[in-house]
Amino acid sequence: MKFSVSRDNILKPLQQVGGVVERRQTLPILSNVLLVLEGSKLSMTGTDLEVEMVASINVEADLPGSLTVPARKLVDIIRELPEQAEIGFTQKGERLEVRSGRFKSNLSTLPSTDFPAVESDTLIPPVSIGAETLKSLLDLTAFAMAQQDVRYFLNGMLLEESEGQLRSVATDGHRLALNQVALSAQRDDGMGQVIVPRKGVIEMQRLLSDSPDEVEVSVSSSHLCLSSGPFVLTTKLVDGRFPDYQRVIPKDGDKVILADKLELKRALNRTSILSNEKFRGVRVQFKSGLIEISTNNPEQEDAEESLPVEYDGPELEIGFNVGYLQDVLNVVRGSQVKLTVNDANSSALIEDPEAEQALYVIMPMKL
Amino acid sequence: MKFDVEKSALIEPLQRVVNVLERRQTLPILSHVLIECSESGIVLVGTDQEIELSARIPIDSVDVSGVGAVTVPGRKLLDIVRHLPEGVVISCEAEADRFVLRSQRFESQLATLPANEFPWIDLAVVANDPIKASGKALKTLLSKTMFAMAQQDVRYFFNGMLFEFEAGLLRCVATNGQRLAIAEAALEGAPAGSRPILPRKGVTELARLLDSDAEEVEVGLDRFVSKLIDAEYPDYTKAIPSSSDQSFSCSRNDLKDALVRTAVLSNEVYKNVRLSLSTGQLEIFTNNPQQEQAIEQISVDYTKEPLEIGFNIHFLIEALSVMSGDSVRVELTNPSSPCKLQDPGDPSAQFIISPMVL
Repeated sequence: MKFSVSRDNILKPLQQVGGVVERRQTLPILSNVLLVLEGSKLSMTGTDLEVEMVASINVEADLPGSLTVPARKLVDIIRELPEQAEIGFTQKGERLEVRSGRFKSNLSTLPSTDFPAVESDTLIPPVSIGAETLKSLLDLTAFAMAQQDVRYFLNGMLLEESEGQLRSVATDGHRLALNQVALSAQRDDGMGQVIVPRKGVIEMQRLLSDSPDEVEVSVSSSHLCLSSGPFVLTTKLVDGRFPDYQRVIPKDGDKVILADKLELKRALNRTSILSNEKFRGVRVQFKSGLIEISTNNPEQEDAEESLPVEYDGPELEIGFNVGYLQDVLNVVRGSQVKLTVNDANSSALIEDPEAEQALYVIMPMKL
Repeated sequence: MKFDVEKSALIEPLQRVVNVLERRQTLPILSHVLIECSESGIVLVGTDQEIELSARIPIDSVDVSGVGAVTVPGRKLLDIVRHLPEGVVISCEAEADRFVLRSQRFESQLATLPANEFPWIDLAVVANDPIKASGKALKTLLSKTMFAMAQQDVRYFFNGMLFEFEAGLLRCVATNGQRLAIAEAALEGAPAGSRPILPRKGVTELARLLDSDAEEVEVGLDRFVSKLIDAEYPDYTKAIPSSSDQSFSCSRNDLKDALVRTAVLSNEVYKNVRLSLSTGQLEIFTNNPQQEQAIEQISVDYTKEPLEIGFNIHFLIEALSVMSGDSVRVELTNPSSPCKLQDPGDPSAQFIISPMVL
């Protein structure tokens, strides 16, 4: 294998691929990136066995071939070369020589045949979707995914295609976030329900933050593929049944409160400082035209703040985990936020008047 | 105790004082800041028993209606103040064993501990009159040398910085036994012959303090107090190579960039690099147990006999990173003697690095 390429053409794609590679792994080859040169196309692949990222770029090709080299070292070397530098890559026996100007290095390689490839059996034809749209679908719900929960299917995000809509749902059992966008076409053979694992969601968000206008999503029985420009991200799917989220969404809330998002968020930030550090409980009292937020902790410290809101129902007091409220308010885009509650034992529904497709459910807490 | 103060006047001094507090401590009062309220304003004090920082809010930016002193949880107080809107007035009042903070529609009560239990550093032994130093000059001295201090070395005096006062001069010295950084600056009224060693945390906190205000500081321990390391600093001058006949100059950035690149493939444990000098050229070579290697040549003005010498590559990179001039002068003697790095345009700072046997 022999080719040359300018630093600026290879650095960003390689960094994106290297981002998938885990810092510590059991198999040495998992710290490597697979380089395959065919014609003038160089494809670079990184994997952690759950998520795989491939980037393809054009290079000045001399001799085709394939090998794997340590990803982090290759990225570090290329990053430290001067901008615009032309870099030559030559396979020499079991080494890859990387040279530029008066700099020359030899990196160890492992055979490309040992590289663990993800089998790609695409069953469902790809659906094309705006990168911005898909990103906000993930961004507004990803915070609610569980972390290292024994209910392993909660450590991921449900993506569901139905009736021309693509919906994302995440929950950790105490709160739930849901968002949906319209697809350009309604399909009979859509992707149905799939659960993308946590790392897959995070890598999708990372790739989408730097994507062209349109991306493609396709799924097989065991994988989801996201194609964006020169990149293809493949993530395994979680094999499990996601809980019936429709049952969790409260439908009998009759008390509606409209509050200024920033005012509410700041009042929660301030009062949360003196909440119990372990349980993070906050008491919210709904009164006519007003909500009162109060906290206290075992050191007998307390804080309270009231803020004006649009509400004219009966007085009601509900306890919440303040962190769950803060998480929702951090992703709400509008300047206002709508809360719908029923009583102290029922979940609260939070909606964003400027992103009407999104909704958030938070379970109450006994104080 | 009762006072009203604007958020903008309170937040900065409070932030600096809270910075000194350790996140985990054995005594509850060490997580508290002392608030002293008098007719001349407010003094905030934080300590970790090794260093102590006092910050003053002058009376013209605070409205005092009751004097007194109390300690309150520092980090919680800072968090609350930080999350209040910009420009608001904050009312504080100590009632019995509570500290009440109000602002607009927000009200909170914080736990207190009595001010007389605050663990002041005993300043009874301060002998010298305060010395005034330019904050900028002091900051430069620290930034050029602090990287070379040891960390958790059994030779505990290396876990700090020597402040060597000579007539009209302050010299800062830091070493971990393998590399040494020296920087000096003119200082009027320095108590000649005094050689205090400031502990590592004192040095880093002082550097942080100087980052925020670049004006004048009093080294006479008025607001920033640090315990000193009670030890005799070793005679570092023995480590400075005197005569050197084999030296070269080159672009500081070229040398640094070439080292950073080759460092990727140096041995992860020993971090060694081999420098080979020949007429007009320096070759930088690294390799590691995975049989990987990197090599780069740069042009230098070397004219003597060929010479090969090994170093810890990070000691070279760190010294080159704190230097400021365009070019660097490297003085060598032989493969078993230390090298000296200096900016040819600035003789006030020098960096000495011991060689490594390859």
